[in-house]
Amino acid sequence: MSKMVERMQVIVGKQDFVSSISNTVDATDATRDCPGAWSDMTWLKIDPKRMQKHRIISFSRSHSASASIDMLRTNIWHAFQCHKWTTIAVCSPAPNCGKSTLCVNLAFSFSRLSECRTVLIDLDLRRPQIGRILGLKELDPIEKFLKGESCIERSFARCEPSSAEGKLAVATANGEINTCAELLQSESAKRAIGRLKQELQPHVVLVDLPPMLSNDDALSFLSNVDCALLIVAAEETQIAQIDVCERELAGKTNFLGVVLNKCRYSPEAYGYY
Amino acid sequence: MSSSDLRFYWSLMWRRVHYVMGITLLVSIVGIVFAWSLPPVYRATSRLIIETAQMPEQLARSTVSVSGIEQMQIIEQKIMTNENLLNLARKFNVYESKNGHLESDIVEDMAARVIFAQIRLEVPPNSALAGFSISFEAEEPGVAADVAQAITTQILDENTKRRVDSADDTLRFFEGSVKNLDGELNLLEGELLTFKKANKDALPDSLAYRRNEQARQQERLAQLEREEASLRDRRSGLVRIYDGTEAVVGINQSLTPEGEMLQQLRRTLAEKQGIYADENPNMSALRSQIEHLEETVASQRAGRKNAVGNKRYSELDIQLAEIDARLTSIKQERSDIAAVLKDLKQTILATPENEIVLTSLERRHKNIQTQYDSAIARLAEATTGKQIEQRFKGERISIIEMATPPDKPVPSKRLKIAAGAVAVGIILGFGFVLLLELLNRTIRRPTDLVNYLEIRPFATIQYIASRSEVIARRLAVGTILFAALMVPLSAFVIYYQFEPIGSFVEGIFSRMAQASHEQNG
Repeated sequence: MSKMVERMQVIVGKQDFVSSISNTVDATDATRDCPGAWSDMTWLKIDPKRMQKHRIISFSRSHSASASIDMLRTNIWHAFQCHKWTTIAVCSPAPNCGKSTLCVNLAFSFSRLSECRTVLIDLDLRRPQIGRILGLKELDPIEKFLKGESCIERSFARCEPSSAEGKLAVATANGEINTCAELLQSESAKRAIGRLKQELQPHVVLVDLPPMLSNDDALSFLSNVDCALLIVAAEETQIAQIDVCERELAGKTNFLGVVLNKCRYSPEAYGYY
Repeated sequence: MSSSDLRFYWSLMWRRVHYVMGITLLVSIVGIVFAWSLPPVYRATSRLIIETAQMPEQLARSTVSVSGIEQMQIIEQKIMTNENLLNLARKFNVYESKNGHLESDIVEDMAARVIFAQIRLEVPPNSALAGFSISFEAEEPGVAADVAQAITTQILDENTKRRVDSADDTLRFFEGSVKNLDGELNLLEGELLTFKKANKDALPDSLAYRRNEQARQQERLAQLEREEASLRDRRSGLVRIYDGTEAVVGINQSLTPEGEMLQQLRRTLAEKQGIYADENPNMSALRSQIEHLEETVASQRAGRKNAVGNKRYSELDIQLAEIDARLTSIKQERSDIAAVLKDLKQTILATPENEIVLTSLERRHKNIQTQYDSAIARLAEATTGKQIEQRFKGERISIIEMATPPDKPVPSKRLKIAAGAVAVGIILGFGFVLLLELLNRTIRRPTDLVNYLEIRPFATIQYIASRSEVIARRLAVGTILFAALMVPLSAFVIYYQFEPIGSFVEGIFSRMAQASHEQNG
């Protein structure tokens, strides 16, 4: 009975939500063979200028660095294929390593893979960035979803570029929470992730985690992911920090590797081309 | 270091070039402002030359042998004393505007302002000819010239004083030496005289004479002995003859001395009886004397009548008495000669000893005399030397050019200071960047991960500049390029556009001045 009521509330909420952002909804959504939740999500129209401003290059692919992001995506994709993984935590030792930017770039890059359903979740609950980058405002914050107080359709929005063949759903936080670590390692969060996997059947779930050395938020969520990627910023992150975080991640989950971000030293010398 | 490392460091440096530029600019501006805020410095210079002696050395020599350059260095030390520098600073108000300076600071600053320099002259290496320049730097041309002149005058005075003093000292020394030797000589001469006086009979130079005298006396002695012997023979002969004849003619009854004296006194009494009264004590004394003598004479007559009897003085007695008298005189003479001979022998024996003493005395005298002579000669030279110095005919320092107030300040060190500041700025800038990178323990490139942590990066994402960053950078680069272009260009334009105008204006002025001169003329 109580479940019924909850379900009803969710539907009612969803209708309110849909009507409120009806101007962004793409009416000509070709419903392919995918879980029904995808078609129920709101569409977010993405402003290319905003992307340019926020260093999101995988959206228009005009920047030379988009190649290296695609390469990273492919590497991750291969690892997922090999190990049958679906969730990847994106961590960094300190703030400002470009973690959220890289997440969004990666997400767009993944969304270009046909048959790939990608979900991007911003779990940097204290200082969420992804919503700001993409201009997501009217969704339910992810905290609500993790607590089980909101449904997927209200928490997630679809925002793949028009050229993409895959699907991309994004959820973000609003930064108004005090008990992040507790929430992240709570049973409800685990259940929420399970529900997400069940309803959206994603191939790739990108989780943007808070900086590792500031608090224990990231560590507490690591049990919910299959593998982890460490983003470090060139000329900002110290070697000792990398060492600590690497050990931490390798001990808690499958450590995929270190991504050196913001490298101003042009990569040509390393034979990437 | 591989080429990729080089590229890496180059890119690293290039991205921190703003630090280098900023620091360089800051330090350069500070340095340049400082350099241009320095007051202008005027330098007045006197030039001196050390001349060689003006008289040929063979004829007359100065007694001052310190070379001009050494002399100059000694004088320089004297001038650079704290006291002298302080006096100069006070006298010429070198620091008039700034009061409350520490004395040590003033001395240090003054010492830095005074510049002694040797002028290079094309002379043979052994020549004593040398040139010096004395400069003084000050903020005002007049002060610079005044102080330089004062120092020059000090040098000349000091040099003259030193040389004359030195010549004086030499002269005084030889005067003293001559005086000493003179005294010694007098002393020795006195000693010699005393000795000669004391041993005047036993001096070596009269030895020959004395030997002759000795021989003569000895001969005389022998002669006397012969005479004596002959007299004795004659006497004994006479006695024998007398004894043989027996007939003796009477012996002359001679008057005894008392008798003679009695007769004399009686004569005196008879003479005086007419003059003096009988009661006169002289008369009575005479009378009593006569009475006494009469008694003596009477007793003598009686005695003689008994002894001789009737014998008379004969001719023989007279002859014998004569011979005896002669013998007595010979005896006397012989003893005299013996004494003389004894004396002579003594003096002759003493002569060699005296000769040794005398020789040594004379040798000393001769030595001192030699010294005295040479001292006199040197004294004469010293006198000449002093006269040479007093009349400035010796080696001397003379002014070629006296310091005058300079028209233009010294080409200052401003440019050097400014260039130094720029260089220091660049070095500081690079040093700062180097320090920054040495202290920076962050990861900078994929290789660092491999090197420090032995992790190959999973991926490397190059820096993605946002649009605003790109625009900002382009603006910055554009501005710098524009500035880098405009500054030399504007300098070029100013130089070529305004310099001709300046000289043109000057030309007009000079022509106008010329024209007015001609009109006035």
